Amino acid sequence: MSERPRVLLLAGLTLTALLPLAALLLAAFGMRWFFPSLLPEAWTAESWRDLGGGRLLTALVESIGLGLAVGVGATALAVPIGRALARAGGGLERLGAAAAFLPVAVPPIALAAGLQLALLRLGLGGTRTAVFLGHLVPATGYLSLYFLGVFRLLDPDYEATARTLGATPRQVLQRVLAPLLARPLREALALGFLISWAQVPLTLVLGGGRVRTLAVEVVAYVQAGQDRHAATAGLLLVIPAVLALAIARRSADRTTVVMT
Amino acid sequence: MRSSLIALCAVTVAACGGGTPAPRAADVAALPWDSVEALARGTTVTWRMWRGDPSINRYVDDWITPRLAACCGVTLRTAEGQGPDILQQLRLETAAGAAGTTDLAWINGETFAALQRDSLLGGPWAHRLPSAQSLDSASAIIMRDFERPTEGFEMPWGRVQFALVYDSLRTPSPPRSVSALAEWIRAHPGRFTHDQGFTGTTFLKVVLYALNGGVGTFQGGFDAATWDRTAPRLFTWLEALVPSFWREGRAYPQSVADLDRLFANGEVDFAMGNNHLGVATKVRRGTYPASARVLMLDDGMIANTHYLGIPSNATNPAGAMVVANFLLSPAAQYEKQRVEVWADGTVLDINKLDTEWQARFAALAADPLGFPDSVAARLAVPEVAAEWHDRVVSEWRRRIRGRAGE
Repeated sequence: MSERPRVLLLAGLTLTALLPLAALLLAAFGMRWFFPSLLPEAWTAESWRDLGGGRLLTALVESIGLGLAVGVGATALAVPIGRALARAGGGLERLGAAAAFLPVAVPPIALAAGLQLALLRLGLGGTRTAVFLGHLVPATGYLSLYFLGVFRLLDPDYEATARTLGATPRQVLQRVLAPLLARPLREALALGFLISWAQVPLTLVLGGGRVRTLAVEVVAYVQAGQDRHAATAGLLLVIPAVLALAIARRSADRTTVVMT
Repeated sequence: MRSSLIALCAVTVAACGGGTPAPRAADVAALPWDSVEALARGTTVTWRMWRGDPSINRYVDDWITPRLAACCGVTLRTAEGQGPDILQQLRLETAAGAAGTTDLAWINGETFAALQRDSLLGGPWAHRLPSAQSLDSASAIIMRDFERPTEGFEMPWGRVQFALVYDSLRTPSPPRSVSALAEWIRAHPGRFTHDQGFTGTTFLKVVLYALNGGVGTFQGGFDAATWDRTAPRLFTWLEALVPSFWREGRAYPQSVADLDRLFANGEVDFAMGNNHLGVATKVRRGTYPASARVLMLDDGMIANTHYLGIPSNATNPAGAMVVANFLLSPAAQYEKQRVEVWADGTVLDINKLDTEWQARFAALAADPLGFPDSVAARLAVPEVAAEWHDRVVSEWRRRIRGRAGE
């Protein structure tokens, strides 16, 4: 590709990434921003003062806590599932992959309706635990598919070779599998975090309105026409997501994994 | 998986309910008030309410919550959920035999009727509250919810009145009756619409009453013969007019929030809302331009009331009553009605209060951005049985939106 189109493409990419953010910033601070004015009539930090009051901040902490828990929980479940499926091969692997794909493909609101009655019967209606378990379902599905791919590419002979060379199972895990899996694990944590981070229907239905994550607040504010608060919460929503991606990306740059 | 769920359940014991059954609201209401207060002290009340308005959230979180903790030792916790969500939640909880997750719920109209049909509300209790003595109990708009007597199963909390909103710079002399509005719409194609939600339906009911000799025609319960006679007038009126609506009536804003955006950005010349006092609040907040004003049509503008109910499976009815009693106190009602706070009208009869509170409420009415109370009161029209509302919704969908061929 010659230099000129590449610069144009890059500029276009930068603009599409930054323009919505700029609009969000203006909306978060602007007051009376009506067509056809290019800029808001007045500025206010009202929605940011509410941050200090705790509502959005509490939602932010709730989202981060849930995201981390779901990331760790789903990864812990998905590694053995993905490995077992990849090693199973054939029809069993296809069947398992289809089963893992199901909670990913089903719309969250249908999933929520199905889970709600079961969780209510367990006395978990409207609790954080219910929301955590609900988020875990699609997250484990996604990550199982992800690890199925990882283990399919990871030659089982690595483990066999290490064992032949006299490594104990513990040493195989520490010296061979852990370094090989370091990058996928970090990416899986970030992915699991993001799946939980963006959930709205599952959180609302299973949390019975009592568990307020940041994504739930954004939706509530948009529906109520509270654009300034929605923009503020939207900005907060972007930051940890970008951080999670950046961390996953950075670890990807630093580790080089040889996969056959 | 199941055993791990039970283990998790054991960790969150409080949420798992079980143990002794919760007292029923009607039994608690029979106790002397100081016993109710004693039962409530040290408990947590979960209040399910609409959480979409930062002004209301601030009032509840920053004004109500700390005062309740100080006066009565009650911890207030809010949960998101409106009409259909509340109904769905309570039906499911009851079906699952689970402990209730809601102690107090913000409800009205169709939700109240539906909850009562399924016996999902506890009570009667509301008449037992000390604050209820100052209620404006002579007002049918307050004591009857869509014509259904509240009978102590819900407590009136706030009173609002439907109004149109116009921009006094763009439209210096707005139409002041349903017939003048129709002429205005014909003369200004594309500049008027209504939303598809509750507020839009309220507008259609205002027109329905105006074209059929007033609200009196529709009072005293739903009547199919009256509907067959009156509805065609509304729908022929609409069919003649919608080609002059925004986007020739082929699309309608989803919600009041969307209509507000269209109005503020100059796409249409009218907004509407269920709370005429809230227009000044929206101007202050910058949702509307500074020149936005309240418009009431002479044919009569529907007023209605919102209420608080205690679900029949509530685990803390005593706490819920203490919260409700505080919300009905003159101080809480006054704070709520301030334009800087929420601008939600009081359900108290000001004349039943002591002179100090009478003076403070009177001062509220003098707000320069406000709409004259006497005019609003003269034009106030009560809600009628919820079935009229439902019929307008379904018939509008079939004849008007269906015709648009979306």
